[in-house]
Amino acid sequence: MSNNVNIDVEYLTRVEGHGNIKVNATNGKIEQCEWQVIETPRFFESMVVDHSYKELQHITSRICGICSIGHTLASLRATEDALDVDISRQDELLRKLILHAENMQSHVLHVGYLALPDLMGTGSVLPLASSHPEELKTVIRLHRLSNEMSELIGGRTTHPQRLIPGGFSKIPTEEELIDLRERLKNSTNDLTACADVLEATADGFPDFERETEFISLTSDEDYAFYDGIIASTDTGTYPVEDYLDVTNEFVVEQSTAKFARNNRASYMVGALARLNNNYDQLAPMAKGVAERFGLKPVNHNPFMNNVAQLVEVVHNVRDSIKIINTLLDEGLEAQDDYYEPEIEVKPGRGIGAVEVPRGILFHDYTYDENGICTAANCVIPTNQNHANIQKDMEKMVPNAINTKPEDEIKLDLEMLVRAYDPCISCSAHHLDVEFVDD
Amino acid sequence: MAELGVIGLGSTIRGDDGIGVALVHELDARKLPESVELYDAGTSGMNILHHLKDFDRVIIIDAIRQEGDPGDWVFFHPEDVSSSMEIRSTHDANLFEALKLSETLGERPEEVVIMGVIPADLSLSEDLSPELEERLPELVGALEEKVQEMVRPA
Repeated sequence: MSNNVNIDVEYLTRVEGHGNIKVNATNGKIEQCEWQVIETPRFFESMVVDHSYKELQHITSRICGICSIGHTLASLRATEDALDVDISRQDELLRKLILHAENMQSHVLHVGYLALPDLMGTGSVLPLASSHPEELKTVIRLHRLSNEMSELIGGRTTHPQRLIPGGFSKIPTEEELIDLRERLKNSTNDLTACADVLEATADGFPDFERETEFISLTSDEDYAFYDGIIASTDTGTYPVEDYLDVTNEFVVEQSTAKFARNNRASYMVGALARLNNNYDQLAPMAKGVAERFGLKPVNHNPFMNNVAQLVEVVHNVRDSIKIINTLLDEGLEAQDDYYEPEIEVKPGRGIGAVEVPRGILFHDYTYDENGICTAANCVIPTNQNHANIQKDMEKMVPNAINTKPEDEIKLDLEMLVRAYDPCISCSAHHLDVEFVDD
Repeated sequence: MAELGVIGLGSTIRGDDGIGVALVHELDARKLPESVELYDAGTSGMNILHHLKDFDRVIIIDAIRQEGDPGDWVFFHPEDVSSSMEIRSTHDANLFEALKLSETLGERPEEVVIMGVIPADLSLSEDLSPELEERLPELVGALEEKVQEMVRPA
């Protein structure tokens, strides 16, 4: 079929940031097969040094416009770990709620606006407005609900202002939470409609599997997003403090972002990794959606990450309703607006690990005796997926060049990268440059 | 639902590209009718879609590439533009797409007016160029006049 292949996708579309897909084969012999990351490194870890613990979550939130809430929470958890700050149960529940909001926001955007056009064969979300207006309206309604939920708890849809070390500067009222709960309950039809659309088109995903390792947080308490320990489908659990032994970042020539590996040459993080590790803790309605697609742990098809994202959206909605019920049952403890918890500053190091839409995220800060940051490290989910994308390509291409025409291989590879929902500019955040002295 | 929305688009670290945002903030200091709502949309791109639905009428302010001197401005309706490529936002191509999508979804405000301002300098800077800075009072005046004109009694 395509024994001579020259695929050169410069700036893959419908992903965040800039990445290239390069495949070259002559007479069936593969000369190049690379996932290239070409973003400029952004040096956030250097940027936060010399800043106060009060500012770090606002600065690192800017690593990403999609997972700004996740970065804010990983940052706060690292700071609170370093300074030995405990937060109230109420604040923890509100944080879990806003993390659900972000996960919904991001997943709905990805599945609805970025992945669905591949399955519908439209190349962009815009034609869907004419060809599938009702389906698109459903997606937009869910996206809006999650945006407004983020705004209600964080003060705005992205880059939340109310999340601060030790808690919140302002919390929603009981009336606002009751209203949100109603809207979440009313979204059931929209969630079902989304599952219907994806199910009707899911056979458009290429048939592909590659055994790999899946890493995420896990917790006895719930399907872990906000809190837990590190879990691998290969090697069991690790305390969060050992994250460097799990992520093992390394530099490769084809990428300005670091790659990562643990037990194998690569591992995967994100919705599918979480589902593979924590399936039993999904809300029943979310499990129902997983069952419709035959999605069970451990699933080794990266394209199923799209489905896992939809399953998680359903879980996010159901668990949010549960959290609001708990908050209302226990009674919301009022606090003044512009509240600032008292924090006693001390030197130390702290690590925060949070599950964000694209996978497990680590922030690691060291503070001096004045609460000024002296060192920082962030390990971003998309970094951890780059090697897995590369290895998937290496498995997919040799089979494909003998069986498929070039344009089909190209689309399959684009869909593969999109399935990971990469946030490329987040991942190209730091390079260690060492100058050799003469 | 606010009767009239005034939405500023642009990147405030790209010099005059941030003129839309700057004008919305300038307008914020003026006394406006209660039915006017201001929105600093920054570079939020497609997110503008979620705000268009809240207004009967909108003025969207953005930097545009056009013949003329820096600081010259023009009010126009998007339906008068033959191709979105000709008058294309300097930082983001999504405005016309968002308007189109809004229309298909039946959410488009009944009247959309775009105020396009010609920039002098789009290089990295948190300040407007001296040319636009000098003409800022003129620009705010023109915008305020347009706002008063579009807030019609029901």
